[in-house]
Amino acid sequence: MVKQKREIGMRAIMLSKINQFPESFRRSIGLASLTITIFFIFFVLNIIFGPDKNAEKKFVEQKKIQEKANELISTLPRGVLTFYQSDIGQKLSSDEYKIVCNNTKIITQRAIMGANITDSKAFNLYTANGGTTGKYAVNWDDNKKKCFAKFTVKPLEGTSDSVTVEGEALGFLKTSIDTRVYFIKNF
Amino acid sequence: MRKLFAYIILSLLFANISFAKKSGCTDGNCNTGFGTWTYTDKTTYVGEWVNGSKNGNGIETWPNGYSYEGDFKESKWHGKGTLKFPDGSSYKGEWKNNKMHGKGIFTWSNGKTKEGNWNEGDYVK
Repeated sequence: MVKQKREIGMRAIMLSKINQFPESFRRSIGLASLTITIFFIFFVLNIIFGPDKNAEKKFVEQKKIQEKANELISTLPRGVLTFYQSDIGQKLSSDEYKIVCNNTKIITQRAIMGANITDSKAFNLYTANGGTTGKYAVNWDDNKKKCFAKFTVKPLEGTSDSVTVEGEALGFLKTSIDTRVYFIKNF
Repeated sequence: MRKLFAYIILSLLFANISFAKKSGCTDGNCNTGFGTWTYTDKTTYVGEWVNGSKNGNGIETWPNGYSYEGDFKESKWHGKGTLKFPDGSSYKGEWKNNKMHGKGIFTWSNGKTKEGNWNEGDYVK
């Protein structure tokens, strides 16, 4: 009881002392404390949600891999690149196949038309919708050691029907800009 | 300066003519008769034409390795024909409006075959 009374007394003395300071000084102290509090909150948030410490290292590694891939692709001849025995184009090695796959984003119209031959639903929708496609993707499957390409044929206006065609990407076209899927085996 | 300008204009004109020759009817008669049509993406059709349409027998070759040899009707694969896929697989049989339709045999590149009937592109045994 005595201790509590003493604490209250001490607080009153402290407050009265603070009140004795000029108004501008008290405001400055308040502003400084607020700034420190905000800084501290952001510091804590940065620790919790901030960027990965190894991000820069990973970025440098990725850049190196990309440079290596670009270097390899630049050595390949422009034109048709295949991953099967063919009379046309250059046959890719397994390593080249993976690198080309990982660096290919676009599927050519002829590849889409070819894949549609063996998929009647996609064929019908593609033809009815004037040859328009929606999303497409090219991905390397590490387990199967194969490159897969898929595209979605857009639905007709007024309907939600769409068809996704997926198959092994076995042929590529190397242009002056990039590499593109040229043959999808979906049968 | 004038000479240089005239030289540039003439070069562009010749270049344009030479490029133009690479697409369209590049050989023969592509109206009614036998002719070769080359598309801008290097797809080619060599065969018979009737009134500006592919009609009769011909070969269509796509730049990515597909090739169809057989009957055409109104510029579509229609009748009997063989489609060869880029990897060596093929379908030999009947066609209707660009689709496998009727009797046919599908052969994979590894030699495996499937024989039977197709309906509008779908295998029906």
